[in-house]
Amino acid sequence: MIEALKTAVNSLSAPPRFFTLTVVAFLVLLFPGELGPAWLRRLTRPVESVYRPKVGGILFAVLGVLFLFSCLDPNFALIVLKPDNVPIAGMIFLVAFFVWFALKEGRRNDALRSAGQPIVEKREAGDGKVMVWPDLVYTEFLCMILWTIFLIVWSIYLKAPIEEPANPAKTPNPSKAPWYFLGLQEMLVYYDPWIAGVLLPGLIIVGLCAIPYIDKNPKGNGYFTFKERKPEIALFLFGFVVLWVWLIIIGTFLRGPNQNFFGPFEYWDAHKLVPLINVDLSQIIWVKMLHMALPRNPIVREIFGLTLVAAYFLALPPLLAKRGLKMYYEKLGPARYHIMVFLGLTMLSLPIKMMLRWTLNMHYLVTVPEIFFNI
Amino acid sequence: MPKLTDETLRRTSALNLLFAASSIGLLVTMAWMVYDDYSRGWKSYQKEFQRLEAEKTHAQIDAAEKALDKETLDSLLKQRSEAVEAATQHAKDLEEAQRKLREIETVAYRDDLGYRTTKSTFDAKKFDYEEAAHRGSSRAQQIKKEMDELQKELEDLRVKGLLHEQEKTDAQAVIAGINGRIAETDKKIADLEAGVDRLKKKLDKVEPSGFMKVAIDILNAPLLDFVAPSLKIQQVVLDRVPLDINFARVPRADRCQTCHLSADRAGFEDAAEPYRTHLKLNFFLGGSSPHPVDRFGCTERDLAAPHAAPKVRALIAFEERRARDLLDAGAPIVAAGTGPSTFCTRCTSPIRKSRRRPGRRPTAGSMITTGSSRCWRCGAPRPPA
Repeated sequence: MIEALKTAVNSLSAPPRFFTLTVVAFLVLLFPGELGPAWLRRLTRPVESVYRPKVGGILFAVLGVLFLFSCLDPNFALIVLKPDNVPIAGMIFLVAFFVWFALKEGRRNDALRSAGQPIVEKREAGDGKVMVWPDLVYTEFLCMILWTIFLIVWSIYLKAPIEEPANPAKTPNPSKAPWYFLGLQEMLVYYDPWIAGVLLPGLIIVGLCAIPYIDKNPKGNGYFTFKERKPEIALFLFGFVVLWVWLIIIGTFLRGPNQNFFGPFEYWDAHKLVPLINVDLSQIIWVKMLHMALPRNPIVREIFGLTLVAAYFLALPPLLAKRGLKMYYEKLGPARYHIMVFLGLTMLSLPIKMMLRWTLNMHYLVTVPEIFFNI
Repeated sequence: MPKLTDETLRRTSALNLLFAASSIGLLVTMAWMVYDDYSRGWKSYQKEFQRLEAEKTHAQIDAAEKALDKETLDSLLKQRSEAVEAATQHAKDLEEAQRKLREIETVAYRDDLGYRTTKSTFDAKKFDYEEAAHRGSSRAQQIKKEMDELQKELEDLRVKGLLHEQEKTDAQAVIAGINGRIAETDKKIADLEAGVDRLKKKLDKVEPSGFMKVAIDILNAPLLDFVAPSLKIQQVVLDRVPLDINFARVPRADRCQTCHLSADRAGFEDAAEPYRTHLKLNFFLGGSSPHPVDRFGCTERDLAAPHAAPKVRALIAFEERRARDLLDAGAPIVAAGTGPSTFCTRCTSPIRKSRRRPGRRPTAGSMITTGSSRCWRCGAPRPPA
């Protein structure tokens, strides 16, 4: 029974399934009873109850027990209890908790507001003043002391994961980046190094810097809310939780020797073989579908991929401005709108490419090895 | 004069003027900095050398072209035009054969793609089977069945690949039968012109034109020349001539060749300094000399430049004198490997401390002497150690 359960979990952690599940769970948890046809709304409405403190508490307790129970499995324990990985296991719970907490508080305020009552922050503030000492500084000071005790005890029990001196003749397998870069390393699986290592990280930073200039919605300053900033919060959380934290979790716990995927209860076998059957779009279309030789001219050869990419980045934004995102186009103006849509499309290109890889074994949409240009 | 108030302690218009002036000043200083960093004396030497080398290569190409055997070339060209004429009579066959070859190549590429995919899938399946069988899993037999099917498919594709190879060879043979004589004469012509071609390729490097020239100019441009400039300092790092800075011994770097660009290359004997070939290339600097430039840097005379300490200069002057004597006597200064380190100044026999007792004749194998202060062969006094 337990073995069958482990096999099921392993099989569900295969990237396409795990990713789909994550995205579905993300949407259902963020918008319970709000998306899709009526029957789906009815089906997902009860999920709303997780934002009640009691239900949420029980949910986290169940997750914690499942986690501890899983640690009885030697393969699971070997990876999760590695001193490097312990903080990341902790991070999963912390990220989940704080996202839940913020959404819970936001929903509470939204409910208060729609009932015509003052929001929580307003009630707590009372006459509008809170003393810095002792209300803030004293509690911060106590937190500092307790946290230092915790860190010292941690460092005593879990030894620093320092290894033998580096040896270029014997590189570690898998070779992994520090945990906070594992999201970037995971992108390298799906994109050419210049995109995954230079362009996308650059755009992440530029995009984060651009948020205050693009986001004109002034609501939510100084208090929790969800209703007033739904698209903004959803977009940010998709980028942060799904495309960053999720990739870190994958990179830490599910990528084993030779960067192969392993389920959480699977043994990290360095000899595991997976079929390497990736093909380029040009090969799929010219060779497999049209039964022709690959044209010699790279532009003719890659015309389909180039058209797709150009349509995605150049034709889609004006199209969306007319239908779908018309409201934003009018609210933000052309400059802000186009920057926002470009950044959003770039962000979405990552899950799209991941899905293409998993479903069609798509290697590159455009590949011109003559000038080291691959998309 | 306007009244100074709390709001404007100083006159804004005056500050604006100062702001404009200081901005222009900053711009000028920045430009000056870039120019000062960019303009180096040695760059003009390198540019001049490029011109010199291009000139030389042009002359060499002219000479090589004059030296070409015109008669042979003409007869080869005639043979080629005959071959082309013969081939045109079979133009239809040729076209047909080429079309067939293209078709075969297309199918072969597709089947090869399929073969690689199946092979990869088969390998992974094999791993799954071995794992399952090792664990004694009930699924092993099922996986084995799938694996066997893949293997059959793989074998079919492999045979297909071999057949494609055969078809390709046949088609190529047909083409070669029609086109063979053209290719043969083309190769003969290319062989005949190989020398000129090599020089022309060299000229492309020395005197780039078109797109390459623009690219190289960009790489040498101010502020961009940190990437991969073609004008750059040339240096050899000499481990054996270190600078002693008390706490560390730092290898010395010779940068003489930044300007003396052809000191170690024959063919520039008549060029003006700093490009002239070293006068004794067979002893110094040359690749086949005992003192190749990449191991020894420049000559002792260059190392004894006035910036060295008097003691070092004296030592180098002595070494140079000794080397000169030895060279005049025709001996190598340094024998290869772990051989003797000094030589008799008169007969150039190698001298090494002997392990045998003094007074006895050296054996043929050791051919070495001493203990005594005289050369074992000619009796000349030993040079000071």
